[in-house]
Amino acid sequence: MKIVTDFSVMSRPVRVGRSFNPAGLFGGADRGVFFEPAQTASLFQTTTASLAATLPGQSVARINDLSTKGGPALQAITAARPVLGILPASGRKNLLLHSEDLTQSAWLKQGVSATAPNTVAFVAGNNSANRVIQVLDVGQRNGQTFYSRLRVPPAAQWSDPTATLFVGSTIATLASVTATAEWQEIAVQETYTSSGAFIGMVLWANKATVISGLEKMQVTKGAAAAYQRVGSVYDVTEASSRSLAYLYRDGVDDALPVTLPDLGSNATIAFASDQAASILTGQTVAAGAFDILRHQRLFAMLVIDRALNASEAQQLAAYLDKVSGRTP
Amino acid sequence: MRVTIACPEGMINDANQLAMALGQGVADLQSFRAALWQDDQANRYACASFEADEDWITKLATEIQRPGWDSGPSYAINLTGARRAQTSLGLWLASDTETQPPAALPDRLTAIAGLSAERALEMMALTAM
Repeated sequence: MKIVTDFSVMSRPVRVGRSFNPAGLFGGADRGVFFEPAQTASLFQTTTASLAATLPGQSVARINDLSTKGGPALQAITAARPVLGILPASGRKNLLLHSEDLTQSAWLKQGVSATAPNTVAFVAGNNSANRVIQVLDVGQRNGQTFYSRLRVPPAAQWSDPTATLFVGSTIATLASVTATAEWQEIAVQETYTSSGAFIGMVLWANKATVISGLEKMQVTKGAAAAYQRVGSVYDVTEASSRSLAYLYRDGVDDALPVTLPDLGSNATIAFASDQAASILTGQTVAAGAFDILRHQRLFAMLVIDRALNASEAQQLAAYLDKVSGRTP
Repeated sequence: MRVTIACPEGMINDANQLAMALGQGVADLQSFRAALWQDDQANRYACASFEADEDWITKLATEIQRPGWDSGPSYAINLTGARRAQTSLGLWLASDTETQPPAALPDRLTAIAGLSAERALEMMALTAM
């Protein structure tokens, strides 16, 4: 019988000792594997380990076993490889892509040009003809509140201080600029009352002007939140939150199998994903391919051919919660 | 940029030739495998989703050539099949605000770029079987 235990739910808070390393669970006779994407030295873009995978957005063809008891997990098919990603432990809140680079194609330039990552040459006109826009597919916006804001330069530094910049579909002007420790910002909060899947951040000016210093663009669902830099969908960081590394599975064809020996019927499988941090006891693991990817994001995976004692299980549960951001 | 491709069941062989020509080796012959998705007419599709770089997009826009790794003497890639798949592939970019995303069709390869795989399959009106 398989017993499924979710220690993140049932256990009392346990601090992970800084010295705890799941690889240390493997004694001399133990067999199994341990993978942790945060150990980027174990990641490669090729199955032969000839090219390291260290940057968010890079596909991972190989992850080496950190227990030293097993082999690597490999994917030879280019399209079936997971992607290395990082996100803040606080979770992703900024819905925008390329939050500091208006030259990226995610920002559509209609009648204007972005001459540098934070500089736009606006022309006079209305917001449907001359604008910079990023459209976001949010599934269903009706009844949802979104908070848009960006860092803007002090008005005195603008080439045309009489220009007005608009953000979002609700108009906010420079008159609403608020200076905080983090932002010199224009902010707009909108609650949508119509159906539809798309929202956007729109920037336009009512006079021809060049505006530089536009940065820290952010749209969040619900309330305002601390700024998160979004380099890509796989590269999200927040200054006040530690970063978590994960392997992204697209849910269509991705897999990263490791070849295991027969580990018997009392094996332990432990993993941390976006869906769960779980320790599965009494598992039967037959010889063959074992896909380490669980759910959309994998933070850690351990397979060992024995049961864990209570102390080991408690430390491992705390570790799984920590690497997946469930605990600070 | 993430690209998600729906391949009609009868075109899997050609699609895998194209995947090899745009990919990194013979393992890419397995890019499109079982047809596990279907449209509302019960037509079946094999799907693949991956991160594509600018080079991939550029290659797709020009006539497919044999990659350097397929150097012979017996070639792995059937270029005729790869080019047939290339010709039948329609790529829609999420940044395209002028046209609607395409539904999957049983006589062509349909690709959506710039959306998550889950959202792309939804736009193509495909459901898992």
